[in-house]
This record gives sequence, structure tokens and C-alpha cells, in this order.
Amino acid sequence: MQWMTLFNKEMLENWRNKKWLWVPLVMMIVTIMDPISYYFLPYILENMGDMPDGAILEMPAVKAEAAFMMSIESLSMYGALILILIFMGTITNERQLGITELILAKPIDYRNYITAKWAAYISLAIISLLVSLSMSWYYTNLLFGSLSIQLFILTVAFYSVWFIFVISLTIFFNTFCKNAGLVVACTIGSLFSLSGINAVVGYRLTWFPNQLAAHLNEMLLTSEVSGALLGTVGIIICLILLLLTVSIIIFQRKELI
Amino acid sequence: MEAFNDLNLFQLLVPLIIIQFILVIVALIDLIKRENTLGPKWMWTLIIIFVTTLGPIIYFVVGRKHD
Repeated sequence: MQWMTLFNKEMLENWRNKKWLWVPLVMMIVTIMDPISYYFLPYILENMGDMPDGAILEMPAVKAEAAFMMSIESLSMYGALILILIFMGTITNERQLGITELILAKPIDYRNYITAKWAAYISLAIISLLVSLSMSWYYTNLLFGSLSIQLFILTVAFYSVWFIFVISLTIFFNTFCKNAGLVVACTIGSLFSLSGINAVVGYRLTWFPNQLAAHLNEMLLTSEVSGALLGTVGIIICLILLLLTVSIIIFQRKELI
Repeated sequence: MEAFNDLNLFQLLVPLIIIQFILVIVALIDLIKRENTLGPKWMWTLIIIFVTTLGPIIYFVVGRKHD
């Protein structure tokens, strides 16, 4: 009951902020830009580049799966960045403006406060992901050939776990960082270190979180859900739960001091 | 590139243009209704209209002040 009230408050706030409008729109642009520009690349080069007469341009044919992966890759970068940016000040700003005190003056469970925020942003992220990948799927089918609906649904389902992870990481830094800028720096920093570790020793750690995109690529190519993919998703879910628990604990301690 | 002849360039790009247009409109409506922005309003109007895609995003992320 209390949780629903807090959740509704977050949803209303996100609606009034117009996040429910602009985040899906921006995600759509991010996902469809790459496949479309790849499709038009030969055309663009022909018309705008200084190509000598008679130059033959052979573009490697791109399969539907590869085109769909382009969308996933740009989401990994820009999509995650947008999520971090919209989520950066959710607790720190409220704390600075004194809203947190106002809310927590009432007998509110800290667990509800954190998880309601988390759930509200996750619904926003997953709906944006669904809408934008549907657009990308439509374009992939139109331009590069067909991709089955099962694979599409599986990709959305597995990839949303990564988005939830990014949000959990942001809320974790939100609980103890003083301002929103620091939250962004810390979150991006840790995401970069994760991908750095992945680049160096990732080939030995099959279940490393950042291997998710590679496993998804494999799934799209072979149309089979591999054990490694499930393992990676399992690890990420464990990390999400851990981050949430630690966030709640830190938040409780911090409010008491 | 066989499909290229069948598909109209226009048809493909129209959804993208519509999305960007909606984004600009949403940002402008928000700007008009808002009382406090970071920096002058005319500056944001120019940024939203002339900086494609990135302009509205920058406005939504940093341009608005909390009331």
C-alpha cells in the first residue's frame, strides 16, 4: 500500500517531467540511426564523397542479425548514458531540496522508498527499450531481411536485465554521493572499469556481466539460448539484488546519522 | 541494393523525422510552461530548434531548474 503510493508518486513525477515522452523518443533515434545509416552508406558515399570515376564500392552484405546487433550496441553506449543522466539526481536532488526529509518525516520504510524509485525507473527503461527495439526490428525486417519474433522477444528480455543493472548501479551511487555530477562520474567510471576488465580478461570469464552482448550476438546467430547466456544473466541478477540490498543499508545508515 | 529501388528514401526517413519533430515540440512546450530555466529562454529556444536531436536532450537533462 505504502509502496504503491511511493511508486505512483515517482510515476507521476516522471510523467510531469515528460520523461515518459522524451526517453522513448530518444532511445528510438539511438537504435534506428545505425542500421539506417549503414543501409544508406553506399548511397551517401556515392553522392557526397569525392570518389574517383569508376571506383567500385563493395559493401559487405549485412545480415538481419548483425543489423539488429548494431542497435543493441548503440543502446549499450548511448542508451545506458541516457538512463544514467535521467536517474542521476533522483535521491541526491531530493536530498538537497529537502524533499527527502519531508517524505521520511512520515513513518516510511526505507526499503519502500528505494525500491519504489527503482521500480518506477525500471518501468520507464523497459518500456523505452521495448518501443525502441520494436522500431529497430521493423527497420531490420524492412532493410536487411527477416528476424524471428522469438529472437526479438528473447533479446528484449535478456537485454532489459542489463538496463536494470545500470539503474541499480546508479541508485547505489545515489545513496551516498553528495551531488548528481558525482553520481554520473562514479557510475560511468565503474561501467568503464567493467568493460576494461572485460577487454583484458573477458575471454576467460564467460559469465562476466559485460559478456552479455557477445552472448546475445551468438544467440541471434545460432537461434539457441546458450548456458553461458543464462549464466551471465544469473550473475547480473545476483549483482542487481546485491546492489539494491547495499543501497538500502547505506541509505538507512546515512539517514540515521 | 535491389530493395533500394522498391523502397522510397522518403518513406524510410519519414518516421525518423517525425520522431525528431515530436521531440522538438515536447521540449518547446516544456520550455514555454516552465518558469525557471538555467540561462535565458531565447538561448534554449535556439538550441532546441537548431541543434538536431541533441538540443532537446541537453535541454531536458540540464536546462530545467527544479521549482
